[in-house]
Amino acid sequence: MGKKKLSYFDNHGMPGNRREFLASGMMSFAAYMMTPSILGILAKSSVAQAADGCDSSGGPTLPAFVSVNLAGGASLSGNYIVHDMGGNLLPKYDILGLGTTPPTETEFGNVLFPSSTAVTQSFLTGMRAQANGALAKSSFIGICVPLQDDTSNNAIDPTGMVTAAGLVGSLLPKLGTSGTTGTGIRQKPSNTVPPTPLVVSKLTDLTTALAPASALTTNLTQAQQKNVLQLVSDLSGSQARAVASVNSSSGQTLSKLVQCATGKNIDLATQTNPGIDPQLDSDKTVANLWQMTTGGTLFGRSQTERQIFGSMVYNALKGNSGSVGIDLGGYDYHGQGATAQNQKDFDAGQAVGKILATAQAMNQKVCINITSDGSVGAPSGSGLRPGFTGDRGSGGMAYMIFFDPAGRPSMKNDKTAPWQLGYYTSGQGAADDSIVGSADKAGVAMFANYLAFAKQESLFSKVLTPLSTTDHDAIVRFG
Amino acid sequence: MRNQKQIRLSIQIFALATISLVGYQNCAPGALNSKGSASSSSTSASFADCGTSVCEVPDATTIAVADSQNVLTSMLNKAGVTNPSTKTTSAFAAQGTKLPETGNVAQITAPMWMAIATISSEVCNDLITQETATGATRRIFNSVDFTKGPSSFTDMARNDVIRRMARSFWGRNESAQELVLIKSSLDSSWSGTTATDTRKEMIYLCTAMMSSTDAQKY
Repeated sequence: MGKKKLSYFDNHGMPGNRREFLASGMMSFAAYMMTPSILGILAKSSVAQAADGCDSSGGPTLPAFVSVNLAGGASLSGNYIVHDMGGNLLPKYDILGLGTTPPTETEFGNVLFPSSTAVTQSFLTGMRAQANGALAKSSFIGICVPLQDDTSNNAIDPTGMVTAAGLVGSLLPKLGTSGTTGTGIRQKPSNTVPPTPLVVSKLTDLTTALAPASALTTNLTQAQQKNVLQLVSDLSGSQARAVASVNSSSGQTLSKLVQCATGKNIDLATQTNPGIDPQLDSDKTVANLWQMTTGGTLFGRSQTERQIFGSMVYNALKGNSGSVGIDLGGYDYHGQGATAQNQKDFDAGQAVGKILATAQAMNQKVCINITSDGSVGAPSGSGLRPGFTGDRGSGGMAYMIFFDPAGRPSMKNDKTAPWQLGYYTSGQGAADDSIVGSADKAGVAMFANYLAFAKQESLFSKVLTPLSTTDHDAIVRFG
Repeated sequence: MRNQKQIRLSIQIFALATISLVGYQNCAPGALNSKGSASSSSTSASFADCGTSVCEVPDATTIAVADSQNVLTSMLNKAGVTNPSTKTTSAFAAQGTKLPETGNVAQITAPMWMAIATISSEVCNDLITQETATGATRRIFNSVDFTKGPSSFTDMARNDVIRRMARSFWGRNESAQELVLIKSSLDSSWSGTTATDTRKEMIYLCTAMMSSTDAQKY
C-alpha cells in the first residue's frame, strides 16, 4: 500500500495571503505561465537535429560556413566578369567599371576575372596576396542577383538553413559581428531564421563565453564553481527527461542536449584553455597567420579585427561554433574615387584570402559566402576602373568560394560559364527573372550548393521542400 | 468569508494565467509559411512559397516570442526578487547574446547554460540581500541564520530551504533523489565556519536550483 503523498496543505492549511500562496506554489505556478523561460520555448521545438550538433565532439559533420558581408554596396560585379543568359560576354562592361572589353584572366580553374595586370588592386589580387596557394584547391560560383542598396533588408543570408541542416558548434553557437538582423551580419535571413548568434565585438566576447562570471566567481572558489555546475548538470539531466512525455524520443533527446550543454560547463569552468582562443594554442599557427599580437593595421584590418575575425574563423573550422558571419564596413564607397575603391576591394579579397589560408593551415574544408547590400555603378562610356559614382543595386552580385584541402572541388561543365548562376542583361544589370533573381532565391541556391559541396544533399529536404530535378540541375554546380 | 476570498483569488490567478498563456500563443511570430505546398511558379515550391517572407523552421512550433528578456523576468518572479540590483541587470546585459531568442533547440549550448548560471547567481545574491534586510519578510531563507557559519545550518534547516526553493523555482517538491544530490553536493563543497560562508553556500544552492532544467521551463 502506497504512502499518502503529503502536500503543503496538510501541514499549513489553505493559503490565504500572497506569501502563503507563494509558499504553496500557486503564485509560482502563475509565474511559470506568465513568464515563459527558455525551455518552454525550446522544448516545443524539434530536438532531433540539434542533438547531432551536441555530439559533434569529433569535429563538424558539415564543413565550416563563413559569411563575409561587404556592408554598403561593394562592386562585386566589377571584380568578376559577368556573363549573359547564354554564358557569353556582354557587349560592354563600362557601367560595371570595366570598360568596353575588359582584359581578363582566370582563377579557380577557368573562372574569368578582370586582369590582375590591368587592375592591380582588386578582390582577386587581394585573395591571391593572402591565400597562400589555397586558391588552387578552391572552386567559385558567381551569383547574379539584383540587391537593394544600403540596407540590411536583402534576405540573402542562408545561415538559418545551414544551421537547420545541422551545422551546430560543439562549444559555441553561431557567431557574428552584427546583432541587428539576427544573422550575425547586416543581411536578413533567406527562408529560415537562424538561431541568434553570439555577437563578437571583441575577443573577450568569445573567450569569456564559456567561463563563469559575476557572483559565481566572486563568491565561489574554482572547485566550488565546478561543483555547482556539476549539480546543475545532475539536476537538469533527470529533469529534462520529464519535459516531454515519459520515454518519448524528444524527451530523451532534450535530456541529452541539456546534459551535453551543462556537462560541458563542468570541465570548461576550470579550464584555462577550452580551445577557443587560437593565441593559446601551442603552435600559434592561426594566431600568427592573422598576426594577432602585432599592432597597427595589416592587410587592411586593425589588430582588434584580426583577433576577432581570426578567432571566429578558427572556431568555425575547428567545429567549436556554427556558422560565422563577418561584416566588413566601408563599402558604401561610391564617389570616393578609384584608388580608395580599389583598395577596399583589395582588402576584402585579403580578408577572404586569410580565411582560405586558415582553412588550409587547419586542413579543413570551408565554404565562404561573399555578399553585399547593393552595388555601385560607373558613368556610361567609362574606361577601366574609372571610379564608381553612385549606388547601383541592379548590378548586384554574390560570390561563393569552396575550399577543400584534398583538392579543388569538382564542378559541372554542363554549359558555357558553368560557374555562374543567373545572368546579366545587355544593360549590365542582374536579371531578376533568373532562378536566383531575388535575394531569397539566391540564398536558397547558396544553401543547395553548400550541401552539394559537403556531399550532404540529402539534408536539403530536412529544411526545405526538395527542388525539382530541373531546378536542382540548374542551381547545383557541383558534380 | 475567508474561503470565499481564497476561491476568488484562486480563480483570478488562474484566469490571468490562462489569458496570459493564450495571449502568448496568439502573439507568437506565426503566419510563417510552411514547407511543402505546391506552387504555380516555374521555380520550385520552396522558392515560390517563401518569397521574401520568412519560412518555418522545420518541426518548430511557434509558441511564443522567444524574447530573452523573459529569462531574467522569469528568474526574478520565481525568486520573488522585486528590485534587481545593477549587478544583476548588468550580468543579464552582458550575457544576453548567449541566450536564445528563437525557437530553435540548437540554441541549447554550453554558453547558454553558463549564461543562465551566471545570471542566476546574481538573482540569488539579490534574493539573499532582500531577505536579510532589516525587517524583511523571509520567504525562502526562514531557517537560515546568516549571522553564523554553515555549521549552524542543520539538516532540518537544509531540508526547509531546499523545499522552499523547489516549490518556488520548480513549482513542485523536490524528489528524494534530488534531495540526496543537493545535500551531497553541499557536503562536498562547504566546510567554512564564517557567516560569509553561509551566504556563499546559499548562493551556491540557489544558483544550482535556479539554473536547473525545471526552473527554465514553464
